[in-house]
Amino acid sequence: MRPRLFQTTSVRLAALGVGLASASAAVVFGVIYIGTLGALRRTLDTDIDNEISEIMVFGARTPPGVIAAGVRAAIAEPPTGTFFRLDDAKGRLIAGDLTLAMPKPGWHDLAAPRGAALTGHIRVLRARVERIGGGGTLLVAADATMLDELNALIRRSFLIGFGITLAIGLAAGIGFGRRALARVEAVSAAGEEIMAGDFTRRIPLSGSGDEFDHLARGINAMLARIEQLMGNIRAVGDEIAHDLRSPLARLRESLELMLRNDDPAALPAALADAIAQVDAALALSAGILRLAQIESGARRASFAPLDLSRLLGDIAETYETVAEDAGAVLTARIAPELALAGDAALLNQLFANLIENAITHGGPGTAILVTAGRDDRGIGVSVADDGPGIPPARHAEALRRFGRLDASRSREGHGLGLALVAAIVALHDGTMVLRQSRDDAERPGLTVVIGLPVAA
Amino acid sequence: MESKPGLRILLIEDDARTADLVRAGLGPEGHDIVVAADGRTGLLRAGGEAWDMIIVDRMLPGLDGLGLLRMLRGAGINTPALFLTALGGVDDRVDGLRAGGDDYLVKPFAIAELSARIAALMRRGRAKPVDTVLRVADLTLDRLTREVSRAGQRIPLKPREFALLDYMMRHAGQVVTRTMLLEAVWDFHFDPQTSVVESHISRLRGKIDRGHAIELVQTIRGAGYRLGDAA
Repeated sequence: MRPRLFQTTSVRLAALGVGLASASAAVVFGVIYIGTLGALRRTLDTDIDNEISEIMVFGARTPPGVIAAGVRAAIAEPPTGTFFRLDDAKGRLIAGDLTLAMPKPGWHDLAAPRGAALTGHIRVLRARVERIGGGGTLLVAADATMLDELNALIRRSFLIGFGITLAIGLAAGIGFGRRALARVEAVSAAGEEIMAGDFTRRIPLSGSGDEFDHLARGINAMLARIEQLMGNIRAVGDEIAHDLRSPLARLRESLELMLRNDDPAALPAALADAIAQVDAALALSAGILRLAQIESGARRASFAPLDLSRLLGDIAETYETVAEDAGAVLTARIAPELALAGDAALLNQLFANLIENAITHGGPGTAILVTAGRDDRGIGVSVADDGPGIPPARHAEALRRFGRLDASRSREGHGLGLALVAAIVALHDGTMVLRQSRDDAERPGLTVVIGLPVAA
Repeated sequence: MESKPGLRILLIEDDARTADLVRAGLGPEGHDIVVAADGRTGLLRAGGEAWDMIIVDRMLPGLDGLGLLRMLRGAGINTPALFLTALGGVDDRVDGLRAGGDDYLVKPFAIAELSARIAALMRRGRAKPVDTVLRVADLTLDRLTREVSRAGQRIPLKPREFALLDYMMRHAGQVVTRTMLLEAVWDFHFDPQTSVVESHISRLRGKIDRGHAIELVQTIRGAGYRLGDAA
């Protein structure tokens, strides 16, 4: 299922980012708001307090007459942005320049009344109401319009700023989300095409070297490896089919001959031939199974310390005899006391295979040299012959399963040799290198060098 | 082993074709082959009656061959046992021997191979004291000094030839197959592309039979080799 935009991680992260940015902006605005407005308000309040203490010179016991005189004197002064009103106990105006209903004693924020004393721009008043001797009340007010405007300004700024942050954040989130979604969809589309069978498909890179490119490169490398393996499997499948065909075809011929042949004396030979063909097919499948088992690495559990010098010595001795019968000469130079942990049965097969390859492919007159010794990385074993060799360009092919380099494919043997060797070497964490034995166009020879790490 | 009485052999095998083939192949040798078609029946019969040998398939319905043999061995029943398997893996042989099997044979096998292995196992079953000097006719092999002589004349052998002769002398009179020799003498558990066994047999023959009236190393067509002076 294709993810929807608002389910994408980018959009969710953007939303979270916007939320956090907004919250911190709100805190900053809040601090400024409360700090600034608070300071201004305190200044106004101090002014009002000062006016009141000037008028009520004796505090609460100041006679109303003195207060009325003080109010009149204050009003008479040049405009300071301060306004007064003095009422008697019955709420009648005694003195002052404000026409409004007297509020209760205490602090108030009042809407400015329309009045002669107030110029047009004054809209808000800060006021303190005091009860005076004789039941009257005194109101002193100051112009708080600026405070109000500042308040509105700060709120407006905050809302605009918040809105912009929100818009940018969401836009960025959606943008990134779309981009990420597009990249992911590209990966997903490539995946679908690959599943549909196009193993050459790769995930496009944006070239920006970002994390998506990084991921895409990793996936592409994996895809390349899978493509290679699939190619191998396909090739191996073809080769198995091809290699199974010849014994099966010959088996069919034998059986058909038996069917047509009336001579009972010829039957045993034909049957023996038929069994030989079946055995060839079985040997091939056994070889494939064995290779699969070795490649699975399960046999590593049965590794034990072994004396490689002795193992190689026994094999060399065995094949000196075999080589002699095949008209070849095998010489061994094996250093003593080469020890490692491994699987003796498989190492036997490994070196026997290499030497048998040299004997069978080199033909009569081949000289084979088996050497073994310590090197800086462990134990090095080489099997060198002076036979026809393998062209360097085809060394990799030779290591592949069924890589029997015989165009006619008519020779006996089920070409698993070098592939088995490679699997056994890999099981022992070893290395294998093929190279020409010498500079000779006719018979350059093949040298197989096996490096085996020494048991830790 | 020529004039041996037939052996009583329990074959625990679920595949009727294999069972028939074994019965048909070993019957003429005078063996009495009883077939049990699943693991449970096999275990009951193997534990409840006396047998000369048990041949058990590794993959069985009910109880698999490895488990069956482990239970038998756990119960102290040490009848020689040979595993049959369709698995050709390298570990299967080790697993089979570890479970208490005495030998191991991969399907499909030639009857001659099975027959030779049964003979070898029966010989081993009759626990012999370990001889340090083996003798067959006028051929002697001293396992301590590693000296071989025929009619009093010393014969120098290479180590592989000595190991080959040692094995054949321990199985004197019996047919030993190419595979048995590869496993026992060379520890080769694969089929070599070259004539490893044939080359060594031919060397051995050249060294111990040349100049003697009786050829001790005999080739048994379609089966393997036998060491002995019997015709």
